[in-house]
Amino acid sequence: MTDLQPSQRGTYSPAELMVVAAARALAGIRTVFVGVGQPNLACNLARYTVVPELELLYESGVYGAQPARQPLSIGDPTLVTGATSVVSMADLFGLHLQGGLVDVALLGGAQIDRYGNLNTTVIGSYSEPKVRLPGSGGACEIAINAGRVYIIMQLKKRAFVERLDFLTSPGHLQAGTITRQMGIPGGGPQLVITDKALFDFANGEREMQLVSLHPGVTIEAISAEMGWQVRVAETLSETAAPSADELAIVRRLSAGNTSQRAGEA
Amino acid sequence: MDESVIRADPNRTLIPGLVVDAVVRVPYGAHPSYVQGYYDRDNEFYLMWDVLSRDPERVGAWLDEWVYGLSDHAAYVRKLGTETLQRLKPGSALAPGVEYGAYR
Repeated sequence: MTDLQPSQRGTYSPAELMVVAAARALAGIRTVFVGVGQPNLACNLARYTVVPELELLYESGVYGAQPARQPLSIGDPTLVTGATSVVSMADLFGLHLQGGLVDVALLGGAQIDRYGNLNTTVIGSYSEPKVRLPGSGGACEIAINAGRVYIIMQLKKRAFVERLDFLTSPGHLQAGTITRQMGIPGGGPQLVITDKALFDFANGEREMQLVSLHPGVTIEAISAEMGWQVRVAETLSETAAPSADELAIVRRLSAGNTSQRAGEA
Repeated sequence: MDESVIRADPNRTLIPGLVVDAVVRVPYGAHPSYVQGYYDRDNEFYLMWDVLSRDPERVGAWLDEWVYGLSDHAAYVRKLGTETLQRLKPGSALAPGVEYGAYR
């Protein structure tokens, strides 16, 4: 993942703004399904800022986690210390996630397409992979069943692609309301948080559209990192820079983190 | 362990005796993973392994040194050394006792 050190030009790094933007988007949310890495930072920042009552659920079956250190994996005992409940993964996925009790899930991926479909399985062909990735894990189930999906990814041309090498987790599939017709219960992707801009899917086609540019970023810079012609929302805003408080908390949360990798070790 | 210890706290028995053939005491048997309350997840090990496991030759050398070259798991734990074991020692977070009630 992105280096969290502040850039030499600014007072905060693009990766820090990414975490801050994700945290802000959790305002008003009750339950969030958290992954390790940047999603973990974002959810814990949200707990200290916009939504203190936010309940953090981790794939390993932990509810109400209040991790005292950054977990390197969802199987880190720091998630259990002070949590409200620890259940089996079968119960978490089968009863609670499928039961519609997860409001928001934060996901990432190696590739994403214009409808928010994600690939975390393989780069290249499945039979002769260039890179075999650790997905799906729980990602497909989470993408299908969470009330909303927020996606956190660096904006890179090799990641924002016209066509996925493999469809791991459905977003809005081939556009529009097809996921509803197929009986997919969750609301699918609502927001894509990158290091350069924010995107949503608030149009009839459920196509990813640019809604907010981070300070100093141009539409041209966005287009240069996307594998398709970027759609721009009718109202385009600028993402507010991180406040001093937000930055201080992100840095405190990151300190002592032994790795920023998104994968599970 | 005396059977009465198990019977005093049945809600915490995750694996019923019916499916158990034997119980063997193996200190640090879960390393580099953890056992809640006894030792921590060895995150340094996982980070080391993440790099090492990209190279089959280094994996082979590691297995020779840490698995095939040792007589048993106790030797593995001794080789880990007290410094590592000390690093993995968690602080205390004791839960209060539970009143289950006696329904005779």
